Amino acid sequence: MTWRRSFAIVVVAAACSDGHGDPAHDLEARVRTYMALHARAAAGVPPLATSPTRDAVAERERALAAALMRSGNLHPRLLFTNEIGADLRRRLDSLLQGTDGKNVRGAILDATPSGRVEPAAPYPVAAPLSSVPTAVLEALPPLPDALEYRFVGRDLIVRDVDANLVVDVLRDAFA
Amino acid sequence: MIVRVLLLSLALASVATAEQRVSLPDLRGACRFAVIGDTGTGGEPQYRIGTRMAEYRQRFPFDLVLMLGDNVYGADEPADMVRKFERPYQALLEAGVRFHAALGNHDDPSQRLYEPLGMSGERYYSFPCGRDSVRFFALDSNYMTPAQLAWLDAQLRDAHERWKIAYFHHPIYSTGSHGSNVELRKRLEPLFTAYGVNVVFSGHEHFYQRLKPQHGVRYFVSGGGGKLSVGDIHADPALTLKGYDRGHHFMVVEIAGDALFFQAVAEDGSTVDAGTLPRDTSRG
Repeated sequence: MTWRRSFAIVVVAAACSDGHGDPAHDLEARVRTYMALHARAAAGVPPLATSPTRDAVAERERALAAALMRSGNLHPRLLFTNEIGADLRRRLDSLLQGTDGKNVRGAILDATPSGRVEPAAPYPVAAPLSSVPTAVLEALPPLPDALEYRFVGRDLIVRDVDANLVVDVLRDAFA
Repeated sequence: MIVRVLLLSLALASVATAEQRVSLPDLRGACRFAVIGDTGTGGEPQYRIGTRMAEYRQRFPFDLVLMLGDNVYGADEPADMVRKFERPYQALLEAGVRFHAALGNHDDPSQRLYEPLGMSGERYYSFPCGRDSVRFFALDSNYMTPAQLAWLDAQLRDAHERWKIAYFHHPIYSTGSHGSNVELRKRLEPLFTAYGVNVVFSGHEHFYQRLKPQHGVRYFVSGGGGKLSVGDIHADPALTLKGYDRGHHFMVVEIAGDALFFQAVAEDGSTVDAGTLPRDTSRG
């Protein structure tokens, strides 16, 4: 069985857990699945030297993104199912209330990039990255260091840092 | 000691040339550094500032440069790194000046792997300067995780240097169009005041601003090293001591003993701000 097929089975199994448990635990399971995919793709890409050139970093980023996209296992709602999305929107809605929430909203929207990004696709190379306040990171389920939450407009994304890849997108994550 | 240093600095300032007056005493064993922010345009102003910094260094040999984020705008392919970083500061890099960057909102976190930016592969890090007198804390204000805050808490607690200087991209006090990042202030200011951080440098606003001390901490905004937002400083006498939003600039700083000397230099070499900040010894 190819590694791609075995991962496809794992991904489908993870998708089938949609709605059957706590959304945060469901998201955690899906993130683990993605990280296994990431590790498998990374194993096929040459590692970086201790002090890599900018060329080497850029090349590895492209190679890792290409390997992940070629795997056939990336798709919309890989992480953000309907239930998970609803849970994250509730968390953000609760966070962004009141005076403190206004400050958090201001920090998110300060210089956040506009436009639209798509899941399972590279993050635009020349686009800036939004700030993500600590309060948001505390409100949302944690991610491993290799992934990060970011905002594009009012959309919440999960970005693969090493691959500069948008793993998934939650549209209109907050009002 | 501080009186002698102040008198010396006044004497030196009076004999320097009018065009590029060096306001800093250049004392033995001092920590000497430059500060630039929001630089990475690859445009003519950035190059002119880089040239001016190299000229200035002939009179005041600073050893390192703090970069306050937005180190590279737009694409950051290898050719962009040459055009937007290596070439503007080529004279400094060839002279062995070390750069230590913080990440801005326009910076891909993978910049931390690019050795000339001096981040040692980390998004946040600290390093000393001078004879055990200064420790810098470079922070990633784009993504202030609880882990980063815990790291900063431990680092500040364990730092034994007299001067603790933090720098990061988003200012927590500012009167520009971005304004103060109040949410970030809520997280960082308690640590700064608890552990005696003396000075904070930030960018993001494309001008120079020296702010009134806030709970014993001095704040500078220095985001005009490549970008510029003319007329962007909003009048706020409660916060601003000095502002300059008419042209690009860089800063040079010297720390010796309990005194910090600073100078903000405009593109034409004129001084837009200068002064001496004594260390608040009551804060440890």
